[in-house]
Amino acid sequence: MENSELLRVEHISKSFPGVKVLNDININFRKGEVHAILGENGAGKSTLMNILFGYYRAEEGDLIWEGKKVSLHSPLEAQHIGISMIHQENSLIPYLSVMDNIYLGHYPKNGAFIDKRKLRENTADLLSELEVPDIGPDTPVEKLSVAQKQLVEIVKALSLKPKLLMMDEPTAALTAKETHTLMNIIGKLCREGTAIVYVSHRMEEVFEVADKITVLRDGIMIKTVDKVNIDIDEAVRLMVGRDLENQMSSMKKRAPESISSEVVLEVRGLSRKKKFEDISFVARKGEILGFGGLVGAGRSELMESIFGFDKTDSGEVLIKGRPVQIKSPWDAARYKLALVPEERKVKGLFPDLSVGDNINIASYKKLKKGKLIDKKLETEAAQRYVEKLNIKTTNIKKRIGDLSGGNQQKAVLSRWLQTEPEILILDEPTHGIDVGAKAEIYGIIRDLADQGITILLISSELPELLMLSDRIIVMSMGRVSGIVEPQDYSEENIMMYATGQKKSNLSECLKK
Amino acid sequence: MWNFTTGTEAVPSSIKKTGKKTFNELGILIVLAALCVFIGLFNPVFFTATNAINVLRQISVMGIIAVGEAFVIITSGIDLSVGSFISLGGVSCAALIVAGVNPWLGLVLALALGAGLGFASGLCVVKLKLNPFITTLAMLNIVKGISYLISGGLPIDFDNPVAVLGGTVGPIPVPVILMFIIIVVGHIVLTKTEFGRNIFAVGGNEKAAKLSGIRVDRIKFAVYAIIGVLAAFAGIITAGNLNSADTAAGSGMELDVIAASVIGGCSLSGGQGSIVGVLIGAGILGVIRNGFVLLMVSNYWQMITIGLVIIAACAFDMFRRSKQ
Repeated sequence: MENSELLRVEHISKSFPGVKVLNDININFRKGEVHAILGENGAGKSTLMNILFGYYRAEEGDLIWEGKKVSLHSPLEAQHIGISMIHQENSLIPYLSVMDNIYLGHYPKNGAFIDKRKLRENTADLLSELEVPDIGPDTPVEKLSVAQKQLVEIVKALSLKPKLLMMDEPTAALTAKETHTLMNIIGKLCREGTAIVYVSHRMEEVFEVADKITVLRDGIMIKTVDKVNIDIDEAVRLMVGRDLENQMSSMKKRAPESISSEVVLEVRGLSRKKKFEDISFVARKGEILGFGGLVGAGRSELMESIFGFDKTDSGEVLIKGRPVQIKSPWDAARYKLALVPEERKVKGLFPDLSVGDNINIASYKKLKKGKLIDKKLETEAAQRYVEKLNIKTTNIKKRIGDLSGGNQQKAVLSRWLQTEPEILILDEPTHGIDVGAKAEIYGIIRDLADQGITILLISSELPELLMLSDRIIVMSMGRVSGIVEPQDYSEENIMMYATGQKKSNLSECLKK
Repeated sequence: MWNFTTGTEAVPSSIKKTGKKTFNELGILIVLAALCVFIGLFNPVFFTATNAINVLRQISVMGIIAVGEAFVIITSGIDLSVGSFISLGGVSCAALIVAGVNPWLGLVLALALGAGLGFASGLCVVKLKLNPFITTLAMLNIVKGISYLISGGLPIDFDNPVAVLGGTVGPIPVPVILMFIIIVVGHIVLTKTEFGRNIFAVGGNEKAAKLSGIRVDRIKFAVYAIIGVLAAFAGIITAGNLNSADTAAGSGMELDVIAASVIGGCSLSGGQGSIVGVLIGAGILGVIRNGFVLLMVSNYWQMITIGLVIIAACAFDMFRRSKQ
C-alpha cells in the first residue's frame, strides 16, 4: 500500500512570537482515508492545517506530496497541487449567487467572458451529485441559512476536485440532516480516493467518520492510531492529558425538587413575524432551562427578542411577576438579564480590543471613581475573571483576537457574569470549543445555577443539553413543540419534537 | 467553589504582570522629529520660538476639530462637513452679536447650533441608516447654504469680546492654548471614561456593542454633536483671529482634519485611534507646510508631499497591524 500515500508531513515545527505552536509533527495522509486530527483549542490543529494549505510556512520540516518534496507559499499554490480547505468561518460573499461563490477564482470561461451557462450547469451538477437539497445555483448566498452556507462552502472546496480536502469543524453549523448529507459526501469522496483531513470537536462524529486519528496536545503529536484501536474516553484522555471523568461526574442531574419554585421569568404568547410564534414558558430561580431544536427553529431569534436586540410583534415578558418592556439590550441589562450570543465573532467579540476591555465593556459603571474609569479597579476586575474562568492569556492587555476560541468565549461569558445577572441566556455556549474548555464551561453553568441564577441554555448538542438542563423546551419551525421533563430525557425524544415527527429518521442518523 | 459575586479577593500573582505597553504613536513621532531635523538643518529659523508658535497657531484649528474627527472615525464613521461648520460657527456668532445679542450668549448659541446640526447628521446615520460619508457630504452643502443665508455672502465684522479667543496671551496665541486644553480633555474622555471606551466598542463591533448593553445610537449622536460643536468653536476662533467672520472660512478643512486623524493612526474601519496620534498627525501637516515655506519650495510640492505622507502613514499602520 506504499503508493496510496498522498502527503507525508515530516518533522514540521512552527513558532509564533513567544510560543512553539507545533513541535516535530509527523503524519502520513493516505488516499481514500479520513484522517481526524483531535486536540483542544490551541493544540495546534488550525496551525497545522494552515501550513498544509500554504497559509503559514513551517520553520522546520518538509511536506512530501506524492513522493516529492514541495514548499507551499500561498493557498493558491496549495490549490494548484490539489489541496483544498473548508474553513471554519464563512468565507462566502453574501451578495453573490451560489454559483458565483463556488466558481469564484476559477470561472469556466468562453474566451474573455464567463461562460454563464456552463457555470450554472456545473454548479447544478455539483449540487445534485452531492445531493445538496433546496439550494439553486442562482440563489444569493445571503438568502441561505447558516447551515446551507456551510454546505455551499463545502461544495466550493469540492469544485476544485482536490486530492486532499481539509475540513475544519465542518458540522459546527449543520443540523443532523445536513450532517448526514456531509457524511454521505465524505463517503463518496473516499471511495473516489480523496484524502480527507477532518477536524471536529464532536467526538461521536469523529469516531463515526474517521479511519485514523491523530491526537495533538500543546503542539506535540501524542499519537496516531487506527480508529478501531481507540475509544472516545481514551482519545479525550490523550487530548486533555487529564481525566475528565471527575469534572463530568459532578454533573449528575439535580433532583427536580431541589429547584426553587419561584418564577423569575415568564414569557406569554411572544411572537415575531416569520421568526417565532406564540411562545410561552416560565423559568424558575436557579433553573437551567434548555432549549432544543434544529438550527433555524427560531431559538436564537426568540432569545434576542427577549433581550431587546430584536423587536417582538406581540406577547409579554414578565420578570418576577411584573410585565416589563425591554426595547434594547441596555434595558435588558437593567432588569439583570444577560445574553452570551451564538456567533461569537459577529456578535460577541471586539477582536481588536484587549482581553481586559472585552471582559469589562459592560461593567464600566462599576469600575469608575467619579467620572473616570479607575485603572486599578478595571485591571483587578479583568484579572479576577481571567483567573476564575481559567482564561489562558499571557496578560490582560493582549488583543483578544489572538486567543483561541474557547478562551474568547470565556472572556465574553466573563463580560456578562461581571454584570451579576439574575437571568443568563447562553446561546450555543460551547460552539467550536474544545473538550477541556467545554467541561469547564459546564462546571461554570452549573455553579451559576446553584447560586440561584436562572439560565436559558440553547444548545444543538444533545448530550450537552440533556446533561445540563433541568427541563427542556423543544422548538420547531418557530413554535414550542414540546416540553420535556428529566424522566423523559433521551436524544430520540428531543429529536422527535424538534422535527415534528413521530419516529424520526434524524435521530437514527444521529445515532449512527 | 466558583463564585463570581465577591469582588475583593486578591489577584493571583501568576497573572499580575500586565505586559509592557506598546507606544503605537512612536512611528509617526519619529517621522515628525525627522521632518523637524531635516527642515531645521536647511533653515535654522525653523527652530526659533517664534516659528514654533507660528506652526502651532497654524495647526490649532485643525487640531481642535481633529479631536472630534477622531471620535467619529473610531466609531467607524466619518465627518466631511466640518469645513461648513467652521464657516457657520463664525458667521452665526457674528450675526447674533451684530444683532445685539450678548457676545458670550452669542458664542453659546452658535455652539448650540453646531451641536444641533451635528446631531442632525447623527440622526441621519442612526435613524435613516445612511452612510456617514454621504450624510456628511450632504451636510457639507446644507450647512454651507445656511451660512450663506445668514451672511448674505458678505464678511461680518467680528469686533467684540469673544474675539479674545483668536488673540494672544503674551506671546502665546489663545487658539494654541485652547487646542491643548481640548486635546487633553479629548484624550481623557477617550481613554478614561465609559463614553470613550464605548466609542471604541461601537467601532470595533457594533452588534457586539449593542448586545453588551451599550446604547450605540446615543454614542453616535454624541460624536457627531461633539464634532459639530468643536468645528463651530474653531470657526469662532478663526473669526476672532481675523476680526471678521467670513463664509468662505474653513473651506477644505475637512480634508486636513481627516488627514491628521489618519496619519495619527485612526483606522477608517473603526475601533482604533488615539488623540495623541491625531495631535502628532496635525503636527506633521503643520511642519510640512511651514517647512516648505521656509525652504522656499513650491506650494505644489507641499501638496504632493502631504499626499505621500498620508499613503506612507497608512502603509506603515497596515504593516504594524499585520505584524500583530
